[in-house]
Amino acid sequence: MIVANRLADGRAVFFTEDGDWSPDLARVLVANEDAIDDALDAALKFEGSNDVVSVEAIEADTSTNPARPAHMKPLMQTTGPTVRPDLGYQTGTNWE
Amino acid sequence: MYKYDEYDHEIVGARVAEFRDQVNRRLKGELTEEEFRPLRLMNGLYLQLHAYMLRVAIPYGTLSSDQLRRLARIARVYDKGYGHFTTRQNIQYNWPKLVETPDILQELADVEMHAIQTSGNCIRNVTTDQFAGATAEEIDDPRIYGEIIRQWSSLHPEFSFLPRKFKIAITGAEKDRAAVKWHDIGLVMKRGPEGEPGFEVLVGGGMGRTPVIAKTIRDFLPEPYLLSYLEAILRVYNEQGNRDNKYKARIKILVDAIGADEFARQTEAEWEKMKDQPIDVPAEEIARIRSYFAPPALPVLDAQDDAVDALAAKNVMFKAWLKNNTHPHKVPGHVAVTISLKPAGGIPGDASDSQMELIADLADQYSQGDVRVSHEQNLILPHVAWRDLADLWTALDGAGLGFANAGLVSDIIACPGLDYCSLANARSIPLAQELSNRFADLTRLEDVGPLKIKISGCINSCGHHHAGHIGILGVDRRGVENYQILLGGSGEEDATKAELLGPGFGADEIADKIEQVIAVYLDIREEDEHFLAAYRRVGPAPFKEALYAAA
Ligand code: SF4
Repeated sequence: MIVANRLADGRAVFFTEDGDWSPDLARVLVANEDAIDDALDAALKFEGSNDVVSVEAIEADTSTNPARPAHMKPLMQTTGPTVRPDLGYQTGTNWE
Repeated sequence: MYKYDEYDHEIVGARVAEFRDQVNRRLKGELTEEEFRPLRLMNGLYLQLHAYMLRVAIPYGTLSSDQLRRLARIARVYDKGYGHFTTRQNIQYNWPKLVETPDILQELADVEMHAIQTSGNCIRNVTTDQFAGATAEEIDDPRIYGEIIRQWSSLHPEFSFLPRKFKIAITGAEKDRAAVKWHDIGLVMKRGPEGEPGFEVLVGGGMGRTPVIAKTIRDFLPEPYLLSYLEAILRVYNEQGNRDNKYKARIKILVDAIGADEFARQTEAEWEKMKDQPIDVPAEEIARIRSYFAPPALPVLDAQDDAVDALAAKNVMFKAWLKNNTHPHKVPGHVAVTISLKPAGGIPGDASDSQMELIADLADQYSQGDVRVSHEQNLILPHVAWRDLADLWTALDGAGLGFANAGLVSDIIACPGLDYCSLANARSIPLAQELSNRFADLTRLEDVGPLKIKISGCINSCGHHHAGHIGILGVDRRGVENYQILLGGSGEEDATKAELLGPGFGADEIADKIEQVIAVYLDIREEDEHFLAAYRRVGPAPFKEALYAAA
């Protein structure tokens, strides 16, 4: 999967199946090694158009449904700070 | 406190306008991220895991009540209702939007604050004793020199692109509450043979992956020569510091490579060439800056008050707070009060907008409108009359700010860690919360006594784990959070590096292990012996045995 931060507010977002960005893991594109380069090219176009920054391909954990990032840091980005569940994506409301 | 002159206003105002233009150009796509990144960092704006983070400088940890009120307003209007006070005596906001950052900087400029030089390879905010200007122990108010250094180092063209970031700390008292020996340059105020003021100068301290305690390169530098001597040190470093490898770029590596004696020799040689050039501040200018820090005219009062005694007799928390959270003041009948930002289960250093506003109001009412930030992530009211303590504490306690744990085991330093920081390996805050919950009971807290736990989420050591009596370092062990324990560090005048005890522990067991360390201490301590003294007496063996033997 591919993660980035939105330029305007820095919020962590993931590249989606339909070629957009979202914090919603259910929509996130999961590509195998062959397909990830093409996906990354598509994602990087959004860096060119100044929608997102820090675009990065990361390992996915596909044993869960939906798939989620395999490593701690991007996993943290899917929720927000664990110590303020009232503020991050956990709340599901004050983000978009 | 210091008031901006025309020149200060002009440069800070110009920077806000410049950054507003840069942000607009970035949002329109006229600047690439690569071009913009160094520009935003020069204005204290980082990109973290979930959002941007703005680091605002609080020069030598001193705030007026109006400034604190403004910080509260920024938290409420532009952020999510809170700010995080750091070990650098600064404040960080965790959720600013890029487009609003210029407005935030303007709000700061309106109260004579900014975020310049809170990032990058330049001289950062000078830090000092949180009790400066109040403590009976000091030779002089170190903020006078902090301000002189601030003016000299702000946008100094020669020192804007150093090999690496550069941190200076200064203490006016022999008792070191500013961790000066852990800084690139540490200054300790002293008196010379004729009673004249001056400084012991230390260089090459620092934490990070190579912890080093600073070494003295001059026992006594007369006060008038402060800036020329600092400039000589910076020149030697700027010329010879390693610019190829950022892990070897701090001054501590240079001092270690050539030796402190050689570094001192080169500094002295450089200084000889420049000490009579117009670098140093004339006596009249020092006097002018001193006048901004003139001690408030406090009346000599009784250090006894019936209302204080009555509340202490019926409220154990207040009684403990009087003991733990007040510090003797120069003027009899007054104290400096530490407001703990470490309630049981709380996030160390976080304060909400309404808490900040309350503290600002209480500063006006009880502390001459003066507030300080300590590197231990608490707030201080430096000039409080003893007779006001019952009312003050009652107001603080009503807002969750009355905890009597200053200097005790739950007064934990913790960096933001993996909850916020993009460099982190592990979370710091949840561990601090867990530990402070386990030591929430006042009797237990006081029984354990003075004990400094310091937690960093990675080797960058923002949580000062190398200087912790108990230091905890978060590492990434094959993708899983893991915590190493270090024991026996000190950030004070008797500075020592904490030693790694052994292999790390998982997130689910580290709090138990820390409790075990403390249990060993309680078991071995001799009468009234503090943790650090006990550790120094017995060494790591009994702790190792308890933590690893069974495994
Ligand atoms: S110590 Fe590491 S994790 Fe903690 S704030 Fe500093 S850089 Fe981030």
